[in-house]
Amino acid sequence: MLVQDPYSVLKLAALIIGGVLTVVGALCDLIGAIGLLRFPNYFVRLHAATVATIGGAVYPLFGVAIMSLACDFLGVARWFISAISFLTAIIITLTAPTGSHAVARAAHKAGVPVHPKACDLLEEDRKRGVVK
Amino acid sequence: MRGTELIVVMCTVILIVAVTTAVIMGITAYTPGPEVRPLAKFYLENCLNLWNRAYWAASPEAVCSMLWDYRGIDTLYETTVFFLAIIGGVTVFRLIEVTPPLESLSEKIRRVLGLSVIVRTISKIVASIILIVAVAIAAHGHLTPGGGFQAGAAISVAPLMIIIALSRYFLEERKLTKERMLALRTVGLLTIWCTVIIPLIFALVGQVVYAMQNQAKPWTTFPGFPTGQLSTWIAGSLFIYNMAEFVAVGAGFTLLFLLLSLPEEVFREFMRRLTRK
Repeated sequence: MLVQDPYSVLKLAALIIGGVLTVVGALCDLIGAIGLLRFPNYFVRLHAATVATIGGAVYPLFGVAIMSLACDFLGVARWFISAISFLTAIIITLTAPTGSHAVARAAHKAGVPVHPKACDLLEEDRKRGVVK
Repeated sequence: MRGTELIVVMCTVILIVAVTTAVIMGITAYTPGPEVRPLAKFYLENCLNLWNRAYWAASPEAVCSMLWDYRGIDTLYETTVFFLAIIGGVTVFRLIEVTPPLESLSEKIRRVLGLSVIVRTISKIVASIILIVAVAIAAHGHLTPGGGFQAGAAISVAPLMIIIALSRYFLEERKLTKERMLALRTVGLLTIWCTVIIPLIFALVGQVVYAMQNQAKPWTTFPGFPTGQLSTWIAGSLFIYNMAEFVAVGAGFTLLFLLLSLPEEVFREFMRRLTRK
C-alpha cells in the first residue's frame, strides 16, 4: 500500500499534524475553562475565555482542514471540508479577539474594578490624558 | 406572598401536565408519520422533473419552487405585508424630516466616532465578507437552501454592525440614507409585482396564461421564463423573485436600523421646535 500511493508520507504527516493541532485545541479549551473559573477579576477571566475561543476553535479547525485532505474515503467532500474549515478559522481569528477587545474596553471605561492589579497602563494613560 | 407563589407553581404544573397529555394523546394536531406524504411526494418528483415538464418549476430546490412557484401568490402577499409592516415602522418616525446634524460635526470628531480603531477596521473587513455571502445566498436561492429573505436578513447585519462600530455617519456619508433605502425597497417590491404581471401581458394578446406562471404548461400557450438550462441555471422567474426580495428585505431592515439609530438629541430638538411652534 505504501508503494502504490506516492503521497502516503505526506498524508501521514498531515494526519499527525492535524491530530496534534486538535489535541492542542482541546488543551486550550481545558485551560480556558479552568481560568474562567479560577481567575480573580473580570479582565483576566475574559482573557481565559479568549484563550478558549481562539485556541479551542481555531487550532482544531486548522487541524481538521489539514486532516481532511489526507482522508481519501471522504471523496470530493474533503476539499469542501478543508476549505470551509480554513475560512472559518480565519474569520474566527479576526473576529473573536476584536470582540474581546471591544468588551474589555467598554468594561474598563464603565469602571469595572481591576482588583488584584499588577499594572494598568490604560488607566495611567487616561490619567495623563493620552487616551480619552 | 407564599400563597401567591404556591398558586403560580400549581398552575404551571397543571398546565405542563395538561399540555403533555394532550400532545401524547395526539389531540393538538395531526402528527406526521415517518413516511413521505403525497403532497411532499408531488413536490419532490416534480420540481426538477426533466422528463415530464407539465408541473415542473425548473429548480432543484423544492422549498424555493414551492415558495415562489407552486404557492407563489402566498409569498407575494407575505412580501407585501412585510413591506407594509416596515411602512408602519417608518410612520412612527414620520416627524423626523430633519437629517442628523452631520455638517455641524467637525471632520476630526467624525473620524473618531464609534469604537476603537481595531474594532472599526475588523468591522469593515467583516462587513464586506457579509455583503459577499449575502449576495451569494440570494443568487443561489434556486439551487441551495437560502433565498431572498434569508439573504436580505443576512445583508442587513452589515449596516447594523457598521452603525454600532463606525457610527451612523459612516453610512450617511456613503449616501446610504433612509430616503434611498425606502426607494430601493420600493423598487424591489415593484420588480416582484412586475414579474407577476408579465404573463398577464401575454393574456392581452390572447394567450392562455396564469398569473405568476413560471414555466410553460401543456395546456397554456405562455412560453415560460428562460430556465438557463444550457448555460447557467437560473430557474425562470425564481431567480428574479429571489434577487428582488433580497433587495427589498435588505433595504427594509437597513431602513429600520437607520431610523432606530437616530440620535436622541436630534429627536428632542425636533420635538422642542414643534412645541414652540
